[in-house]
Amino acid sequence: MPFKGEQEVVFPQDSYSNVLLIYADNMRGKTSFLNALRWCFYGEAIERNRRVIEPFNIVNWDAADENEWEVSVDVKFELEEIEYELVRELQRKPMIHIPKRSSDLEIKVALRKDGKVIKPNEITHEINQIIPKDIARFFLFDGELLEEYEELVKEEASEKSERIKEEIEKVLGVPAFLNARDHLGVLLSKARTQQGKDAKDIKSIKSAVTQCELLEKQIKDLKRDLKLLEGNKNSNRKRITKLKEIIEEFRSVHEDQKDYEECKSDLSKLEKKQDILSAKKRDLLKEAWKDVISPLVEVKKTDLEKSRDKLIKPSKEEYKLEGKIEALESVLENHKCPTCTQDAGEEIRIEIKNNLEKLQAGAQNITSNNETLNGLQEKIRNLSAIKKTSASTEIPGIEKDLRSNSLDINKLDTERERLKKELSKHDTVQIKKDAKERDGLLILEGEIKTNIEDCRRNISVKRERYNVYAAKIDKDNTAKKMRSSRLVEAYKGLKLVFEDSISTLRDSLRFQVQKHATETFKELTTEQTYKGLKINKNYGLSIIDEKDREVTLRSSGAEEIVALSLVSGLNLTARKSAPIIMDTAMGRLDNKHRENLLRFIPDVVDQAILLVHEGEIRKEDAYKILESRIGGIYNIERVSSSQSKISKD
Amino acid sequence: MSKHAPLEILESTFNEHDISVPKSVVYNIHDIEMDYLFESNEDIPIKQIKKIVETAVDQQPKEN
Repeated sequence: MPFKGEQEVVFPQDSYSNVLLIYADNMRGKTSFLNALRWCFYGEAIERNRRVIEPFNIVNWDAADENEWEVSVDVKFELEEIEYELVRELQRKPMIHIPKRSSDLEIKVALRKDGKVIKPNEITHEINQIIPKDIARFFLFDGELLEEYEELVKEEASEKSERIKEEIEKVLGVPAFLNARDHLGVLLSKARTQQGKDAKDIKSIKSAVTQCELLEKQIKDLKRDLKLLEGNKNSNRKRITKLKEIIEEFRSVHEDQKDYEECKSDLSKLEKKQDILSAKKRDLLKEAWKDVISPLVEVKKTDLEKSRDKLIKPSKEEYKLEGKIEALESVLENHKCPTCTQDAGEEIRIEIKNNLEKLQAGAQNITSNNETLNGLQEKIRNLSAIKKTSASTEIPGIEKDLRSNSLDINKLDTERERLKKELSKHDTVQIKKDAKERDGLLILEGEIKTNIEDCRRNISVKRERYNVYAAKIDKDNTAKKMRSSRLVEAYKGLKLVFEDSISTLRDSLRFQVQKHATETFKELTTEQTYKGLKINKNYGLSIIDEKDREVTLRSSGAEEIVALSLVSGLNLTARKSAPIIMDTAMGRLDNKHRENLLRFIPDVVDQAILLVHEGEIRKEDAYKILESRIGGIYNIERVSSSQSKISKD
Repeated sequence: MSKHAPLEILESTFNEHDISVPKSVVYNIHDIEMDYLFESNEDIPIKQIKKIVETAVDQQPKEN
């Protein structure tokens, strides 16, 4: 449920401006609004696949996160000048701090009728008098579940359509006749028994009385058998339905199993990725110390380089000195200048010798500097090997990946655990057993049906024979004077009146529904050659074309128009009318049909609440078509992905 | 369908048959059943119907 906090919607009160439009984009809460009303009246919110939404899932997620678990829907309405207020509340049970499942919550319902509080055990009955649950689908009209309605308007009778037929007739008033017929039948049977007893001594009809007694006993036994068989049939059907639900649920188990396997595989991939990232981080950390001392190394290296450079300069001088020493040694050896080849005299050689000695002394100092230089070069080489790594830039990225990966692992792990838990609830062997049991019960159901038919046929045959003997008693002049005979006569006549009235009333109702549905259909359909609709005994409707042929293939749009026509037909035929609330009902209709529906609807219902999105009908188009028939417009707006709010336009 | 239609049908059907009790008995039975259906009347309709039919029969002149 996307609604958090109080939301209020006032339905149109004006009989002319009786259309309320509630606009919302998909996923914002149109169906939830319809479900809120359905839940308030019948304690059931229904999801797309017609499954009932668990009370736990009705609570808004954000509210639940804040440990707020109270959900309440309060509907105030008036019917036949009686004011009602219906409130349904969902809240956590006492002693439950944080609910974990639906059983931790409880539902309370209260109904006031003209201010008077209705007893809890009478509330459902009261609501059913307003709109019975099965009929409510025609008034709480969910366009997204249109297939449900389409089944109801099909020609063929199904168990579901049979049930709907009963509910329709209940609203239309037939059961009062049916009950009267049955009750009179019981009283007739009792009066007959008494009549038999009273007529025992009348010789002329003694044999007929004996036969009546015998047949009555046999009919009574057969009726008891029939009741037992029908009980078996119902319990059998309930079990079949339950098994079908279990088997249907098994389909979702398959899906869960697939998701579980995928989850496991994804988890394994993520864990491998996590290992690779961790190893890479470890490797980077091994060299990361270099980054820490790298600035100090650089400083030291620069110092050493400076020292080295200082020592390199004297080395150049040494080179020059060596050249000079060689030249002087050559003069002393050859007595000639190596450059100009002039002779070097004694005096010059003595001077040269002195200079040579000085130069040789200087050269000795230079040799010791070379050793220091070599030491410095070695140190510089060693320090140069300590290079800055990429660890400082790469490690933050790896750590980010590790964190995000770890989150994904946690999510998948939680999902895997959830699926594992879900799967552990199902026993696949048991499900196979259930399928076998269902097949066996379906065969048994067929046998029970045959037995029921046989039993009914037997009762009917014996009843006919009984009536023949009973008629003999009724005609006897002596018996006629008995009080029991006069009671038999009265009950027989009254039963006949109600019996005949049932078929007349049914025909009349069907005719009325057909008439009103046809009127609606003709207003809505764009195919003007269609003659109208034809109703069958189950209130199923067929389209009749201009040549009186039944249109067997109906488009989805046509199905929707037929379903809407039935709703309208029932609304107009029923003794009680009701507002109609339609959710996304025009989704399958083309523009012309939409326009027809919008123009028509305000005239046939007291109130129409249309939950729509702009794609179905734009506001400006709605204003153009409906004009002053619009009694109000609300918008359901997004607050967050899990919250919406309703506001007046 | 008019709210009175079921009663009109009952009346018309009653007129088609030769019934040994007054027409009002039919209406009374219908009222009992309607109450039972819509007002959750806890009284068993059979008892009430029996009473009104027996009263009507006992008030009839006996055939000779």
